[in-house]
Amino acid sequence: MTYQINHHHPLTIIQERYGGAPRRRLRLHDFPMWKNMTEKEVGRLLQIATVKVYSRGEVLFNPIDEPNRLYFLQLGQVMTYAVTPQGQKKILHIFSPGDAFGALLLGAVDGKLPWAEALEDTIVCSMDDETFKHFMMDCPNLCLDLFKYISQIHVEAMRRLRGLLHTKAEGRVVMALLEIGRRLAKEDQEEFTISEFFTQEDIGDMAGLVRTTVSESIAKLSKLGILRKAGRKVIVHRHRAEDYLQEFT
Amino acid sequence: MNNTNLHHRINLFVSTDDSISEEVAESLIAWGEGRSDCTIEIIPVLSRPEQVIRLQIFYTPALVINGTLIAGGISSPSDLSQFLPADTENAGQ
Repeated sequence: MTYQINHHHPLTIIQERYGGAPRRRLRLHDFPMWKNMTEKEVGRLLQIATVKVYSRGEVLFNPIDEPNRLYFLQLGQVMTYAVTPQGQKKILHIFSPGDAFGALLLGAVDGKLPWAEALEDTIVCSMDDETFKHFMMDCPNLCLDLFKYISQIHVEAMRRLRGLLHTKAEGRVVMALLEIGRRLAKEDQEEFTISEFFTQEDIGDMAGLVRTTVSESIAKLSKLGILRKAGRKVIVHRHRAEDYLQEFT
Repeated sequence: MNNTNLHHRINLFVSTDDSISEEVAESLIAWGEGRSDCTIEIIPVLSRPEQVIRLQIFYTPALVINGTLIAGGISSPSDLSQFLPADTENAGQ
């Protein structure tokens, strides 16, 4: 028997079609050097970085921690969120395997970190600015990929912003729902479910809309067959959603 | 690769509270019953983080045979079977 190495997980092969040019959300392990990291480089990374594990619900960092670390997410999912003065959680981002984050990489708002919480079994490698200097010296190729990754994030953010500016409410909601699907690594699924964990307010925050507009848009999109509601969950039909956006843009 | 007389070390890396990990693990254990040419170990990912990084496992359940990552993010027990070694000892019986 010849073993077949299966690196073919759906995240790396699905290309999204909306917004004109094909695109996909890139993760570090999609970059050539990172993907082909040698045993030696992995060993060096493990020497330099701190490896930590978190169970679901455990906090990786919070606003009182010093904003000086970089995290590579090896496995699991991490949610970052802010807490409003009223005590409400506002989801900022969901990170999936192959993502990198932390103030050292993406900065901190007003010098403060958000909360970061593991959504499932999670393994991260992290380093502070001092250890990052060693990483730069010892693994320059990986650093180059990291630099490309940051550029890609920037391009993504700009594209999303442009999309928001030129799209009406329903289109923005569709964009937000597809983005959540991507973050939850559901890029391969024809239909995906967004749990009640994501409120209409969260979707509104991502789309730049108030909750009532999100609610109205979901009702309209439901009539068009792009999504349907199952209790408080939203089930999104991916291809219809992408086609809808393509018509829009 | 000729698997005759080869003893396979089959490791399945699983996540906690993950129904697919549980289903695939049960299926692997059932598959391995009566197989003397395999050693099966179900490994919770949080117990071996460095190994997860060395093997470049990004998704669970992940199948590792004889120290090589064969598949990550196996989506169902039926998907698992394509990656498992053939039963050479009992072949033809």
